[in-house]
Amino acid sequence: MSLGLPGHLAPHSESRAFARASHVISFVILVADILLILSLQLSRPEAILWPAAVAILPILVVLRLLERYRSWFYSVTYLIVGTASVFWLVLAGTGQFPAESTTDSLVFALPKIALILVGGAGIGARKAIGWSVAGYLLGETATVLAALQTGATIVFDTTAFGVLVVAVLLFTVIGMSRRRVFTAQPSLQRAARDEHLSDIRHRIEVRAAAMLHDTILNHLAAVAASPDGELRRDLQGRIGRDLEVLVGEEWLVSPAPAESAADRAGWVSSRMFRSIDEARELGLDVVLSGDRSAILRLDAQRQLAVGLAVKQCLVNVLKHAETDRAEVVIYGSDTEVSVMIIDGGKGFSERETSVDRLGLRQSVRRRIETVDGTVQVWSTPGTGTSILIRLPACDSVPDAEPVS
Amino acid sequence: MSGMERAVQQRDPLAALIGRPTSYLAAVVVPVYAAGSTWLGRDSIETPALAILALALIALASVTLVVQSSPLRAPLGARTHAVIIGSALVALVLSALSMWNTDAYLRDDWGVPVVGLYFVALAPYRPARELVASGVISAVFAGLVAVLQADAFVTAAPVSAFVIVAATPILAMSLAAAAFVDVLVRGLDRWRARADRAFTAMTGERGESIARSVQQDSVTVLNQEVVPFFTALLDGAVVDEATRQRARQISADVRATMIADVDRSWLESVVEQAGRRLDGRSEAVSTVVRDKHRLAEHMTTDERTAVRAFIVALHDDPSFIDDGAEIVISRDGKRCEVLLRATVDSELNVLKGALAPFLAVVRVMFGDLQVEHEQPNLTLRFSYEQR
Repeated sequence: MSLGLPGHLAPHSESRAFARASHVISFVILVADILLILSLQLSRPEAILWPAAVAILPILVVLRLLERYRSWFYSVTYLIVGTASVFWLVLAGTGQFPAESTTDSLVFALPKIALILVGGAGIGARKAIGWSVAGYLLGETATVLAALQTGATIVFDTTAFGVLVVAVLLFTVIGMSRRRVFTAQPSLQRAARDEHLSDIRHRIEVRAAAMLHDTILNHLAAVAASPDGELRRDLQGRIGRDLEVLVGEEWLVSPAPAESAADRAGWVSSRMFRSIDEARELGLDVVLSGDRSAILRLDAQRQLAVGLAVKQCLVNVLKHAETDRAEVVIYGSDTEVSVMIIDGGKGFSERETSVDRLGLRQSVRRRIETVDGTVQVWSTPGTGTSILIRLPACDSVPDAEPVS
Repeated sequence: MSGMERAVQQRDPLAALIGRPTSYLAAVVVPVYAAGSTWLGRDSIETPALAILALALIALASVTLVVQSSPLRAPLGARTHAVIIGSALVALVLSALSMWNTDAYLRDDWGVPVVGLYFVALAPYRPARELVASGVISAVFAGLVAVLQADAFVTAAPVSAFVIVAATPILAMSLAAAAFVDVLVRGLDRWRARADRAFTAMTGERGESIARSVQQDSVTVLNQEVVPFFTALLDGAVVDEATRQRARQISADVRATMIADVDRSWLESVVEQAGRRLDGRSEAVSTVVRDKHRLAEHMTTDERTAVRAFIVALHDDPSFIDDGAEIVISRDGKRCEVLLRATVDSELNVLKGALAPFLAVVRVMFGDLQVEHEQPNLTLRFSYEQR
């Protein structure tokens, strides 16, 4: 979601950017004008040129205010004060040597340019052009009036006029271009939203698939492996409970609240503990090592995901690895919790297992990825398998009881 | 997005596209202004060859600007920036040399304003810091040239005045360009933070309703076979070979449905949705996605958004002919290569029509986008890293 501003915000943002750029130019050239006057003053100490530099100070003050509060009031104030400043400047600058002064001198052109680049209030090319034309006309009028007072030669100022032409061209071209390009903007924003929603749906579908895999498919496999006669009591009980949950409850909306509360209570009541316990009941010798309380640094959703993923890994060891021993190592840092499941079984190549890929892919990899974790699998036929699950830790670490 | 610079073109490709005509404007106005000024001041030119060389450099800078600012060549890099400003600075020196000792005033010379105008034209493409650095260096350089030339001007004035006149336009326009970029990019950052918050909120709200609908779909699947089967077993039915056979069969069916659902990539969904919009226009032959290794999943969210927006725009375009467009994704080393073929029966150049903004966005996301449109066959090629 970084593909630009939506259509309704872009013109505001652009107008602000143009205004800021105009104000920067005005500031630089006004300061330059003061320096220019002072350097001329230094080279001609007999003349009194410094009052012309003082004339520029008021416009600098209003420029600062306009930059801070880009309102109609300050835009108009800027033009009025600017016009007065130009008048004063031309008066002070040409008064002493009217015979050798012309009104197109750069010293006078610079503040006039600052007037053209008002960067006034409002949005859109027309308003921007309006402010610039007003600034130009006021600046030129002030110059001519002052020159008429002092008797300086009135010469058309090509520099100021050139700046006006370039500014008007720029605003016009951009205004026209925006209309063409912005037809695409809503589609782009819609695409970003759709992408986001599709991502949410995908994560939920993965969760649903993993859940069905853990329950229905496991039970079906158990039924397929059952001997003739009535179904085992414990299997009946589990099927009944799971069917009730899957058909009757909202199991996808959020992790069951009882479970998340239990997870936070401590290691013994965590899903991970239960997974390991269940695997032991199935006949697997699970050796647990590392920092078990690190698991409590995960939020409820991640605790649940990693607990169920570890269960699936251990079931895989039982089913496929041809060994009855596995090791679970838990360790954590401030930012991350890692769980490693290691067995010394027959190993596999992830590609060869593509036919029955749902277990490792849905119940482990995808499930962990949907909670922003990663899964790495190292396995070579003959040398066993190591699966590393890494998950980001919570910002706040709950006060965990030491685990016995 | 981490590899992206704080340049408008890379943060908001559409805004840069809006700014593109200013590149044309600069490319026309600047050489015309330089040539016009040279012609008007021809009496003070001592070495015409240098003056012509200076104009040639300006022409080169302008051509570079127009060519490199094309949305299909995005992003415009630091090297292009250096070439354009470097050419303009060398042109400034050559122009000054061409009228050494005969130049009346510095302020009539075109060299300094031209450098400044190029900075304005570069604003949509380069980051603020770079524009500031380059602007300050250029202004100092122009000031130094003015110092060397000071004694040679016909009009007498203090050296400091010449330096101010030389440095001010460059400094003003480059800092203005940087301020412009800074405001836009900061605005984008603020918007992004806001949009992210809105999306997080949407994830909560919409996530719940999506979860309900996904659960409903799952329950529908379960109700067909699984629930009756288990209910019969719980009600006391005995297990025999037929039951075991049926359990295996149901398991295979559920597995197949689940894989089909979860394995459908986002790209296939997009193409399917876009195809649905065509219904009723003609007998639709839907676009085919060939992505055996599920490489589409490796695209980032922004890349997906760009591709999604383009595919939807393509299907919406009246000149798009639905006769079996295809998208092929293949692996080449660590990169994934995308080839999109479609039929677009338009006399207009696709790079200028309604698809242009979307192509610009795709180009910013995938730096190597190549577009061919040999009427009516449109081919897009681009690649991305396998993550």
